[in-house]
Amino acid sequence: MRKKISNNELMQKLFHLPTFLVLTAITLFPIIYSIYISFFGYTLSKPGSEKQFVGFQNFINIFSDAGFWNSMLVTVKFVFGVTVVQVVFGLVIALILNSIVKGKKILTSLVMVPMMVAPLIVGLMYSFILNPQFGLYTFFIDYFNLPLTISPLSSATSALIVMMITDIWEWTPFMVLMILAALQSVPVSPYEAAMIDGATEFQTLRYITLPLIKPVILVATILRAMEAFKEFDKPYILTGGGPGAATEVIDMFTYREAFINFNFSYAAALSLVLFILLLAGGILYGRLIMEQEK
Amino acid sequence: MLLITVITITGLVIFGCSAATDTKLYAGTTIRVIAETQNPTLALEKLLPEFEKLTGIKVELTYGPIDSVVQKELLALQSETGEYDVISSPYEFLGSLVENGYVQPLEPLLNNTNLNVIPDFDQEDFIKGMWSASGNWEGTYYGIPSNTCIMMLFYRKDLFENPAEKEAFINKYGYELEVPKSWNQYKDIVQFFTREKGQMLAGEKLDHDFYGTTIAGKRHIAMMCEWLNYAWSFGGGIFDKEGNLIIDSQENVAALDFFNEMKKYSPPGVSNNTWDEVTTQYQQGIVAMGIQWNDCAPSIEDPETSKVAGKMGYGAIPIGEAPAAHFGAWSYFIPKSSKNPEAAWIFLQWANTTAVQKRIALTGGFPCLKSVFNDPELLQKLPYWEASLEAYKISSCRPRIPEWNQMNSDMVLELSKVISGEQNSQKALTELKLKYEKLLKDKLPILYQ
Repeated sequence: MRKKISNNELMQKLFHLPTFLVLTAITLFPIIYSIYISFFGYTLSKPGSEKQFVGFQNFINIFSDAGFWNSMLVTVKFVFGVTVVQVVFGLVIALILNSIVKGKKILTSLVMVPMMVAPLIVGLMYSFILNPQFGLYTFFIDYFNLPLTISPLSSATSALIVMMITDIWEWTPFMVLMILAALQSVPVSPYEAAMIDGATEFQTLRYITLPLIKPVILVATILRAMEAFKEFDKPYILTGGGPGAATEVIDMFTYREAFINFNFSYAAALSLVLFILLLAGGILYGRLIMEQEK
Repeated sequence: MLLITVITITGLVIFGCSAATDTKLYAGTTIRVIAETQNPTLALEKLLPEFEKLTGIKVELTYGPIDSVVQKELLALQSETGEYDVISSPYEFLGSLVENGYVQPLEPLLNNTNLNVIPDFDQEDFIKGMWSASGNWEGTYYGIPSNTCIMMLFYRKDLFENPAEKEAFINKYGYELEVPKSWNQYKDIVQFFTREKGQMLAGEKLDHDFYGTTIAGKRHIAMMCEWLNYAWSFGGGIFDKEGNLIIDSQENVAALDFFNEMKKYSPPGVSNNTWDEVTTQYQQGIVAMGIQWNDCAPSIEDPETSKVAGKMGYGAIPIGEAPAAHFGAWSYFIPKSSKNPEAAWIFLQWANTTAVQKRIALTGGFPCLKSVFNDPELLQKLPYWEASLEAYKISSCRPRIPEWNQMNSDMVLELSKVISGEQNSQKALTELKLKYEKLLKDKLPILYQ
């Protein structure tokens, strides 16, 4: 009997081995290798540079790199902007969806559509919509004589706003989904009690619903903020990081260093810094949640 | 008599056979080629069965957009996998490819008469200037142009020749409307042709806005390509003759101011434009004139995609202090890690025969052979042919040093800041000079580029 169990364990390990090996090869190895090369001067266009040990020089350079700080600022603006709006929109849409009786399933499915679209396609779609010659946006501006710029991607501020709008369009459904699920699992009894006490709808929302779904909103916010921090596809397609460096989010900046300028070591160091920042953010939020639950 | 016949027949058989086996010298070999997705590549792909029939060498051709092709090539070269036998790469990577020891010199192959098996291949037919610009590094040939291109002036011939427009122009500016030779003239014409919806153009009421020009203002290599024409023509550039940086010179500042001013006379949203969007604007017939790559002309002359096919004229870029025409080329290189350099070389010979190049030219490609540029049929059929050849004669190259890739990236960023109005020309170029100085440091002055 005993032997059988240990045999089973062995078999389990054996069956897991391929997955383990594949994951090691495609995730663990690149991570370790990128940490390794971040201490070198590896530039694809310089011969022998992969063997040139530079210690912490890449990391020191990052903090004196104006391009990095600009990207950080753009990223923070972007993350803050999209997350806040998505939480608000997500909450409102989820509350509406939760309150309607007829056609709820169809409407919910429809609301989810943007999230299903690949980010690259979202970028392409918006680049067509915003095309100054034949775009849908241009058509509306023209037709209704709206006092808006015809090429919002041309100025620094409006380009970043457009980028945020595309992201809000794409990812609000995620918030809706999370909040809707939370709303549906809220117990009925507090509401009955509130009704008997004569609470208004706003009071019910403020003092019962929101506190009950707060943990879920927090979790969803963390997830979304961390995702938004890694934004890449849409600026890549829509602006290439421009005009100037106005939409060069940190991932775009890192991509450019690695695959356009071929500074592999510097890019590896950048992604390591990014990783540490995200990790710190994750831990902080995790603590927050724990405290909430206490 | 019998003897003579026998000898003759034997001779015929022997020579006949040897000629036949020669082209089949590397039959059965498979070579892998990588190139950019562009008309010539696609045309070449269609001709490959002929090459396979002639030589028995099988060609596996892969292609993709510029950034991803360059990435794939550099990674393959660096890891010495021997994945590719022929790579097609933009010529500005020449210095980097050679100094890294990634590609092999062509001379041993060029001089090996046993390998010169393609009957119509003639080294003397190459236009020397083009060949050295795209393939020669410090006296040694490493590459052969796979597609040459050059920037020139594109204009709406029909509008320039319209009597009503001509009259209106002379009334307004006091001189004849003609293809601009100076930048002042250029600006007048651009301003003249910029019209709003509802105004008249060439006797017809416009149902859309019409623009004097258009520029590629996206943060993209296309902007660097275009602006360098202005810079060179204004008397500026990147390095002076002594190899010192002159990127922040007054001439460059003036050129950048002028380039930026062109925004006013362009369709809105220039900061979304690469050469692709610019080409579309010509095709839609909303632009009068501009500076553009000649390899965009074929699709502007295609009646199926373009409203202005047959209405375009092509000429030289206006001359400020100096004539300017930005030369660009993709070149074929044989990597050092290639396992089949001989077969690769045979492929390059074939790709550079008059017959193949002419057919590529007819589908929108640009060769580097005298015979093809002087071909009467092409001269007659392709409206941009003659102007292209003229432009090549006054052309300049961007630097081909290993640092250029980073320099390009920096330049595009600074230009983009100016186009988006975040920075003025003087400050942007001063900033750029600082970056270049930091990058090049003790390599300055740059005497060979």
